[in-house]
Amino acid sequence: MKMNRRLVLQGIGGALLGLPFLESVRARPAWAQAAASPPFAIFFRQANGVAAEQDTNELGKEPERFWPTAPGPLTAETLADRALAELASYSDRLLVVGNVNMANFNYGDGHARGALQLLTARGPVEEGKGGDSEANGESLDHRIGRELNPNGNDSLFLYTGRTGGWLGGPCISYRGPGNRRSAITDPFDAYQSLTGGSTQSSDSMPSRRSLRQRSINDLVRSQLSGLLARPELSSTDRQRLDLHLSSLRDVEVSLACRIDEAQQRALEGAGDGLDDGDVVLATARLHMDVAALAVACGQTRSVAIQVGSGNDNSTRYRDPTTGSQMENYHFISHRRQSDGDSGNIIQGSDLLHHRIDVQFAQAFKHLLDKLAAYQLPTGSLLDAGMAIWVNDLGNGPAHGARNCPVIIAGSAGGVLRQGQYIRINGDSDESNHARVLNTIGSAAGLRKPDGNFIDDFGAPDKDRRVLDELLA
Amino acid sequence: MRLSTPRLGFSRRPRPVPRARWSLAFLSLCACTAGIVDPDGKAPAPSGASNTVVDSRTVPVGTPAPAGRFARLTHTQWENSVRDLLRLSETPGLSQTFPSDARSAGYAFDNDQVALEVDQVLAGAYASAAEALAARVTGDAAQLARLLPPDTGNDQERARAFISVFGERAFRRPLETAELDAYAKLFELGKGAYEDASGFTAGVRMLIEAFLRSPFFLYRVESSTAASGATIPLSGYELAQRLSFLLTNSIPDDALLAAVRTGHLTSPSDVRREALRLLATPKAHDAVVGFHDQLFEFEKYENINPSPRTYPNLSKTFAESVLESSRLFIEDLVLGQSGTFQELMTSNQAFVNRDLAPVYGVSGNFGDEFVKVSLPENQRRGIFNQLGFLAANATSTNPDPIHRGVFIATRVLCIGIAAPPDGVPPLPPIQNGTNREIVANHTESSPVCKACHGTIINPLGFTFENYDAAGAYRTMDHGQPVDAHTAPSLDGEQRQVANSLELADALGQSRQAHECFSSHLVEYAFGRKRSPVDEPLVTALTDASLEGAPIVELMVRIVESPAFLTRSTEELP
Repeated sequence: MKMNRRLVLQGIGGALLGLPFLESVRARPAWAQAAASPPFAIFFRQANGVAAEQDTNELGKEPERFWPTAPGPLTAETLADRALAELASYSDRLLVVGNVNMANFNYGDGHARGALQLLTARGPVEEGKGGDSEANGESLDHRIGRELNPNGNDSLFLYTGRTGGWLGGPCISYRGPGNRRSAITDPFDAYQSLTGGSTQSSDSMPSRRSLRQRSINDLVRSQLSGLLARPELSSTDRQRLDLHLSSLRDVEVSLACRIDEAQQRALEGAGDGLDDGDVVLATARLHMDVAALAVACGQTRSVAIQVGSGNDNSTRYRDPTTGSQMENYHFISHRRQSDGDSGNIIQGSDLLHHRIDVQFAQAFKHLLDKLAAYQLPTGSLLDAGMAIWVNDLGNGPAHGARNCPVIIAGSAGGVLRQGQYIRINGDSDESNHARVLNTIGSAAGLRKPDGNFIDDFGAPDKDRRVLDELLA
Repeated sequence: MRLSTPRLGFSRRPRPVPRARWSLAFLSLCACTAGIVDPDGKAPAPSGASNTVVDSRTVPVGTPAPAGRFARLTHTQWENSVRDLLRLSETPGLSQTFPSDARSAGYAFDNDQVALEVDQVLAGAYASAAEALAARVTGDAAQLARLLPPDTGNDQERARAFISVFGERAFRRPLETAELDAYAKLFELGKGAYEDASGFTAGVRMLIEAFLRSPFFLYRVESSTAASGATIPLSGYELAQRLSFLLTNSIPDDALLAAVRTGHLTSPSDVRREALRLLATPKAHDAVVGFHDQLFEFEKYENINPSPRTYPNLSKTFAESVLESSRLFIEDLVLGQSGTFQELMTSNQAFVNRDLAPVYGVSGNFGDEFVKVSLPENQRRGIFNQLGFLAANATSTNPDPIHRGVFIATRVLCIGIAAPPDGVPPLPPIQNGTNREIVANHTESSPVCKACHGTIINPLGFTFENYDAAGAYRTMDHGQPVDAHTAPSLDGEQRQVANSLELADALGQSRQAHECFSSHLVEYAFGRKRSPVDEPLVTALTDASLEGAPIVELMVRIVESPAFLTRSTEELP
């Protein structure tokens, strides 16, 4: 008896009443009556660096194809011929942050150092473990959700691409030291996580289901509480059971988090080609649709979307100029047919890397379009929060920790500067990544007990002060 | 295809293998960052050092290590358990809606008992799946009839009988009276809780939903606390679930529960008897193949994708066929033939179809069905000379001796190899030369790189140079004869091997390889990384394996050991 998703819908039962997607949300934005919409952060992660200006042993001098031509105001001219040109229509709502330097923690591998530090600003639990590394701290997406989400809702961690592979696939979101979060790989499952499993698009029959769920949850809670009361429990077991207990939700989902059946079918439309770049990015777009819905309906104030494993070495993106798939992305980033320094040189791979960057920029624009389409009394949803495109590395072959791209769209309700390309720390080489995360966290609404911006996120021995130069 | 049941117990004695003069825990290979991984994943202590927590020489064989009391079911175990609990004909497939479990660093399998947790997303997915399954089962009269006790005319009595019987199977233990009462209340509530069902059936639907949500279903709970001597004996029910989840990846079957109820699951011989019975059932297939599937990273085989330009004749379903062929080989050798680890390394049998036969150079008419054949002995020997391992560890155009070597070192010989340091400048490309020459030049010119590549990785990886990126046999590379001769270090000694066929023979006789395999079996059986406490058991299994014990016999030796039959009196931190 194989059951497909449609059977799950039927099993849960009830008529599926359609409401136009945007209209339904626009009609009831969670914060429509609020004086100001709370800020949020949606992170979109790309691996393997970008096609920035560099000198590689494989191809020699590679021209700049990513960053704007000069710091200062973003204009059509400064973005021309760069991957960021795809975002030109949002140039007045962008904050392009340059010279973001990660710390040189000893992960024993550049991808581990980049991907695991990306949202944690922490070193490894154990040094030098390479692909077996784990980050030694909570990630920012989780902290934002933990501190700011309503009703104790977990933040969303979404993944597209083949799981497994380098660093095990999903690897950027952490609940705590060494405690990596599981990721949702299917957009429809992500949607269901917003609705507590309900796929009904109306409130016509929530009472009986809610009653059932509450009754069963009460029984499960009593069983978990009974187990937690046992004196022999280790803290390891206790921690896991506590998480389970706190994860039980009595289903009370507002209409704003529901979409109609046609839209649900669209979410189910993610393709099967886990290694096909077109499918991977199409799934990323569907994840973005869910992410936008999730922040619009007030379910969460942070989402992390990860594309590809630690080194995204299974995805083969398409070269739009030939229509054929490239070598896998990691090979392209290395400029060789190899995960290392051996293998034949891939001629023109710097340009291919740029074309991959362009496809990521186009995907990111999809997120911006979605957020901009939600209109609130104070402006669009995009203006209320932040969509943040980040990369683990500055460039490919060198696995550089310097100049890792951080592209922020949205001002978080006027907190951040807009329309600027800013190279932070006066171009110094010092590690400043933790400062960027503290700035983003503060813009998302995290505060110290005294009400000031946070300066406590990331490794304690790093400078964690908010970067004033990014503030409006 | 279903293969014959295993023949267990063993009397074969292959050629004697000299007992190595070293212990895996004390091997020291080179001065680079690589080294044998000790059970904590740390660098090995120098011989004679005493920084280990437990002196394995004083630990009785089979002493249990501290373990969690709540091992969450893996997604595969959840699928199988639901199938068996609800007496479905096949797994429901709903775990595809669950979030993928986070990788457990440094652990090869999906069952790390302290890493699997239930977060909000999974809790919601469990709830949705339980709702759907309860609706499905109670909406099918024939399906429901398989679960319900006879109709006595009294719905309440019948419901309590259902709760008792179904609950015992769901929880893998009898329900206590208070639990039975709580579920009876839920049954009454359920009668009016659905729009599309009512009465007795609706009550049962709510019960099924609730049982599937319970922590006693979702976790393998071990509650025993009464020590007997230095350990805590498991109850019969706890033992039954350990046994069935290891050997069938599912809940205990009716016969196993009956054995518990009648007191026939108390002694090691009882456990051996039940283990042999379970291993002879079809349900053992998934568990036994699943262990090898994860150990040998068969999931990577799905990603095999040789360049269509270089290999224009490969079928589009090549990767799919390679994966299926590999699983059939394991099923046949381990379960069908009660094969040994040595045979796993050296058997020249394989399953081929129309996609694979040409690549293997096997002549004949082949269709989509797989046929068991003997491959040429001078070209193929053991699982690592089959297409899966070879093609999965290749670039799209060339063999990848680095990854081939790393895999053999880490997964087959349990040598820990640290990641390469950052910022090592790549060497200039070589336009002419064999693949081996190019890789050697890239990896052995620098002392930093050579420390690992020259002493560990390349001597293992270069032996496979007779196989191209698709895994096809070759004797020439870039116009020159293939040189696959190397001298890898095995059992603490350098061994001259002409190629990967001789490497396969050497691995089949290597204590280091048998010990590594035994160690993985122990990890899988207990759902955790190896502990120093496991050393005596690993050593005993290694000895048995070297003497020709079939792989399934090794699994039986584990389940009849005190480590499996008891808990440690020490809890996890």
